[in-house]
Amino acid sequence: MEPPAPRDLFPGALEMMILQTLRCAPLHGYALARLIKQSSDDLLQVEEGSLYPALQRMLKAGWVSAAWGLSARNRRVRIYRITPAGRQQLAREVSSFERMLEGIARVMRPNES
Amino acid sequence: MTARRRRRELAAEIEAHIAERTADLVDGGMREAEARQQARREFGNPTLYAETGGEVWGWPWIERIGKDLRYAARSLRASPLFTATAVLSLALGIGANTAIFTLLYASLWKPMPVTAPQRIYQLWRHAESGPWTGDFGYSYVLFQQLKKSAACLGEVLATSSFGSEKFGARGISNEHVSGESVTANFFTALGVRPLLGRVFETQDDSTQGGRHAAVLSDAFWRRRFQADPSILGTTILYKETPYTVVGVAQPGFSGVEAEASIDVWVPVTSSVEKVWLTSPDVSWLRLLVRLHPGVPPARAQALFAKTFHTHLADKLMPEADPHWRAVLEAEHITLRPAAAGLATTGHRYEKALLMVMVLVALVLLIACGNVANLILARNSARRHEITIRRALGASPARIAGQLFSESLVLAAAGAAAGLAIAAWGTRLLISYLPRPEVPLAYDLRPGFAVLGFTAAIAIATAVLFGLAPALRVGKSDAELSLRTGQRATRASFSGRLLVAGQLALSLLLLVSAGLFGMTLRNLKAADLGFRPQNVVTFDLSFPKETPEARLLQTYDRIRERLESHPGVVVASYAWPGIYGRGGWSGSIEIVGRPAKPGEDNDAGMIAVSPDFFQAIGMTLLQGRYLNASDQAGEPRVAVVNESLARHYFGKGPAIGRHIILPPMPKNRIEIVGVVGDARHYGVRENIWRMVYLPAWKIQGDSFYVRTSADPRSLGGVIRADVASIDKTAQVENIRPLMIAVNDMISQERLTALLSSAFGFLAIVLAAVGLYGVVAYGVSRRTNEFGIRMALGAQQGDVQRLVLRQTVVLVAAGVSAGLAAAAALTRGVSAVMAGMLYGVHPEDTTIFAAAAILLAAIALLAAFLPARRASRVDPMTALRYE
Repeated sequence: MEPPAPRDLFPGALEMMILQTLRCAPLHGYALARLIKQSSDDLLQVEEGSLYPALQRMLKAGWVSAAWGLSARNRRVRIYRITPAGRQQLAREVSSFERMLEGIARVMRPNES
Repeated sequence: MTARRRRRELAAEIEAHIAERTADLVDGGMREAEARQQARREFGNPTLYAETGGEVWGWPWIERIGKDLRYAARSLRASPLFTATAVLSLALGIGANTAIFTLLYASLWKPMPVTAPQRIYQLWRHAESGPWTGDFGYSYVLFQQLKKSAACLGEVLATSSFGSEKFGARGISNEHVSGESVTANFFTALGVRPLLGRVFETQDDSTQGGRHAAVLSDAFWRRRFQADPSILGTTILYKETPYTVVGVAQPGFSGVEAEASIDVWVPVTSSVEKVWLTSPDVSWLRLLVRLHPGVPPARAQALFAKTFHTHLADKLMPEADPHWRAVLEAEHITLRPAAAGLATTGHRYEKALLMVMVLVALVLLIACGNVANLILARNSARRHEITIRRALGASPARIAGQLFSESLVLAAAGAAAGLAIAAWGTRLLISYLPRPEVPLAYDLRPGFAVLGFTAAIAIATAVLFGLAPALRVGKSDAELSLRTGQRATRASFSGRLLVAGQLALSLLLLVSAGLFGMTLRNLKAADLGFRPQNVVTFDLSFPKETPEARLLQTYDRIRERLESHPGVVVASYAWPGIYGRGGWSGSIEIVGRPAKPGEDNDAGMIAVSPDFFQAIGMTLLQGRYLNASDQAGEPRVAVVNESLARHYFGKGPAIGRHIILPPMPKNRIEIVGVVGDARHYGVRENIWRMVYLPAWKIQGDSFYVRTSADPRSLGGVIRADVASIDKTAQVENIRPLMIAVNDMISQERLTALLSSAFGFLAIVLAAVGLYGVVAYGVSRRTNEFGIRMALGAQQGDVQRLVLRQTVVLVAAGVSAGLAAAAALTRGVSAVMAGMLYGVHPEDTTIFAAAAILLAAIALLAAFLPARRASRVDPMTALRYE
């Protein structure tokens, strides 16, 4: 069975954005999805079908930790928190992402460099 | 954390997510119910995401297979009839394959428990053409030359053929063991270590008085001596000679013959007359070689061949007459892989077993066809279920995987049942092989190889019958069939194609069954020149110090005593015995007729008691039989057979002519009678020129007793008679002569029996398959038939409609089968010619009979559902869904 088609821009983008969002505060899944959507000014829509498997992957990799807590509406939810390993991973991903952006930019606009 | 708990938590989290979204939407002003629906719709398929999310952990792949298999087992249990039919078909197919493979493996391929068995080869001395074909042994002299010449390539070792030998130890002396005489390097070259004491060492087989040392096999040591270590150094009696036990061989090693389990080994030099070690004419050894690492077998073979042919040219050719020279010239040495040992019986049945292996593979293919058809039908009946599961988010691949899991479960169940069938079948098979003096002792425990083979064919069958249907369903469009109750009315094309293929394969099997069956019939009906029915044969053995003169007396007294019984017509003895007792031949000379240059003057000789001809039922053509007065001193008269008389005397009289035989060159022997030709050595053997001499001494003669009663009832009488005359004599190998004759055609019997059994199985499987497809097609078209009949079609019309399609199917299958059979028999005609007797591989009668039989059975199988279709009540049929 194939996983649902990735809607990410590129592999790892969703994980990077999740880590970035969690850097400021621990969040539960729904809040995380909403926040990503808001901070991208509705440009990016996080598919739930990718979000939860991605969170599971990150839990397994040890980039985030999770604990059951209460949401603002007093509902039992699982709250995700970034770990030190997650911060390192975020730094790595950001730097490689920036290098990639720069590379793409040079290719797209060769004369300006 | 367990996978189950993890998935539960994930599901709870997802529920919370949806609840939060709902709450948000309600806050935005939506009504609660609408908001919940909207939230769910946005989220997508929660079960699927929980599943994929959970799979991040651990081994989703294996977990999923486990789950699929459990689900498959459950869904198969729910349809027991389908499951039983499929498993039975597969069990028969897989069981037959495993049984044949087990026998092939045990008799030909199972490596000996020695170090690096793949470097062990047999120096196979054989001739495929020339006056004598078959395998030959080596003289001790030739062995030593080959061993010396190949010292830098490998270690040559020799063993003499095994047999049942007298044995005694610890006061009991009337036992028999299977013994083997081996060279001193036997154990060390094979890499067999002693469990206790030592194995043989160089001094043990010194030709200047080798030691009387014996090594016991581990199994024998445990069985006979209860694993008593104090047996070392004690004396045992082997062939009535004292030997000292010097060691016990490593557990599991039972000699270099897969079918024999050796109890005792002694050095070759200890157990034979001196002439056997010095004469290049006595060929009694079989040779194996362990090549040194990295030595290419081709190079070793070239060297062995050179040494061998030099030896023939120097030592044997100069003395040989033209006939013998031709025999020697046709011989060659081939280095035959012998990781499994000498495998004498295995090589004897190799062709038959490989042929049967092909046949059972075809049977398995037919069985696969049946199961595939069952699955196709089942899957289309389950279309609704499958559609629902797709709608619930299962991907096509996932569904295909689940359907294929069912096939795997079916194949596994079939393999398990097949192993049970095979265990029984292999023993049955072996009981059909002729029983030699030492019973066949194959190791038939299903080891790694057999289990691996069974698993491999089970998986292969699952792929064959399960993969295509599974992929087909997986691909089929989900939406199409969700619309209610839409049903295919056309009988599935692939199903019909499968049935045609099955019919074609069945025809192949029927044709081979016909060919081999006809071969067996011809062999049985072949004129032997004597009548083996109602004849009992047995051997006698005496302590070796018994004087020769007394032996002859004892034999005659036993003969007379036997003849005194009312059930016995006539008793006689002969040396060498016929059928499986070896032959004695030599170059004869006709007095008054100089030999032509290059002429073959070989004739077979048998020394017989006077009534031998009547006992085995030969016919007298001229002159007289031998009588008691001929039997005094060395032979003066002889009876010859028709072939000899015709060759030397043409139409002229043979009676009264004189011949000179090699064993007694001074005697001019007068021909007193001519008997009809008889095949004493095998149905397929050529007729030899024969000389029958009056027995003038006893040299291990066999008895032949013609009875008017059942020959099998005579055993007790014979034993009692022999014991009453000489208590030291031992009766061995009592059996009807018919059995000895049948043993000669046991390979053909085996092939014929198995090919008919599997032909029958094939035709049953194919008929069931055809019945299934037609019946299924009819049941799907009940509606259509109802309409046709409501519109005025008669019963006959409907029957014809169903049968017409079947006739096309059967015709296609049968003609494809005929074409394949013709192509195949032509393709392997060289192989077939050796296996057939009196029947052409493309015998039109057999082909036609097979085609007619198959077509008849196929049409019968189709007629039953066709008749049912025509009896459909139109009203019922129209209401039928």
